[in-house]
Amino acid sequence: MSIVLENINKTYNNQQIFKNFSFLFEDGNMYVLTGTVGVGKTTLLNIITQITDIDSGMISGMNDKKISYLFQDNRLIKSKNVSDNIRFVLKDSMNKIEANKVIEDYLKLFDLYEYRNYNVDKLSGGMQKKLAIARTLAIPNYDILILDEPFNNIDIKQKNIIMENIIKLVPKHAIVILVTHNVEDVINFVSEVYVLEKIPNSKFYIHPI
Amino acid sequence: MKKIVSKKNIILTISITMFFLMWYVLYKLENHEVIIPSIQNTFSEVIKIITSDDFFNIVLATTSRVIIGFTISLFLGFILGFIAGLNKTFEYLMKPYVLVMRSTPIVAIMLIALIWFKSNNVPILVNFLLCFPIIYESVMAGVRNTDKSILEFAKVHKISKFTTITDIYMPSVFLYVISSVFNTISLSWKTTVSSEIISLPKYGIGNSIYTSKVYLNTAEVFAWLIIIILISFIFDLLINLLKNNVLKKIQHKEADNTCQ
Repeated sequence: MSIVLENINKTYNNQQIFKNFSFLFEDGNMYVLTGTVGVGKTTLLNIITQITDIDSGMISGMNDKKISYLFQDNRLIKSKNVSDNIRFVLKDSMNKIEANKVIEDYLKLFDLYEYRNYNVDKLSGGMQKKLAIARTLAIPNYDILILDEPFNNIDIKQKNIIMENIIKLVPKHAIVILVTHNVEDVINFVSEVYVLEKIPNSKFYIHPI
Repeated sequence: MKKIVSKKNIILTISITMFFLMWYVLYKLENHEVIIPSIQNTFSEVIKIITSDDFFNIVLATTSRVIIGFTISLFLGFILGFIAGLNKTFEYLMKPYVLVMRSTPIVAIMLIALIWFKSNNVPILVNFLLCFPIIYESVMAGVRNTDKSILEFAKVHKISKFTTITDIYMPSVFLYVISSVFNTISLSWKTTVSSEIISLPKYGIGNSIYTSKVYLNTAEVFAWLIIIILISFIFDLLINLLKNNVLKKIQHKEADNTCQ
């Protein structure tokens, strides 16, 4: 089932960010969202994931959906090492041996396997971002994949590899919502981007690329 | 490094020598064994106590009171502190009791406890009343200081309550309370001996000190004080060893969980 946003209104700090905003996210599609800083990109993600309450409007299709969300600030657990940060999201759905296999696969895919015992603090910004992406993709059986600025701190060469991995690993039915301030990052992978142009937003402007 | 250690040791030796010198001077000035006993007499009392038949029972009795009181405080402090950290209503429900425990003078509680309980158990109760609020409040603070953004991550991804507690709350609480918990053990030790002096259980270091005082055997009182200092010192050493081990284990666990 798709996700439907209907007439969403959201005011934050006396500023109306969304005014009667409506949109339909369909299963199996990838949506690249962009827009200037402060236009409400992350707010929209938090509305979809119900972290942020809306003032009025309707969100449907979210009830039974399992979310996998890459937050802009990574949200890695500092007291755990690289492996255990992934293990944390697997624990509830599989046993230790299965989890070890998944951890190994994803760390190898993102060139982090040799750092598996490192504390997260010891990793560079780019490696932390890659670990956060690996963890997001390793979450079992998600229906919605949300990626908020996945390419921060990542060099150009690796961006394409990561994007290819994302496309390869996402389940067919899943909705992918990717937010980026730099459309060039995804230029080879999508044919259009969805732009939030100015506050208050009432719709996306669709730009072909 | 070696030089610093030896300098430290020289200063320590001077300090201890000064102490015994002062003791000796006071003893000579007073010239009365009941008021200031001689160093020689005191140490022969120490040996007499240590080699006596009851010594082991006395130390065991006091130590077990320390351990029982502390374990109950740790157990209840952890559970109730955890719930209070998660739930404001429960915190306010507990607040008056914790406040009473924290602010009532221990001696006053002891006198009431002596009416209600067997003298053997009074030191345990007093121990609990002193240690529980400290552990309770630091566990609560540890829960409150758990990283909110990680909790939000867990909520969005529908991570189970169990995993959220073991993987997010527990490490935060552990690191937060570990030093306060270990400091509380030393406090627990001192409180137990003090309350034994008042409650006079059959066996106990406090009881022995009181008996020596009654018979005006000041040398024996002094001897017991020296023994307490020695036992406290050993206790502190053991606790520090345990503390470093626990800390190492937490860090080790973080660094050692391979994914093979």
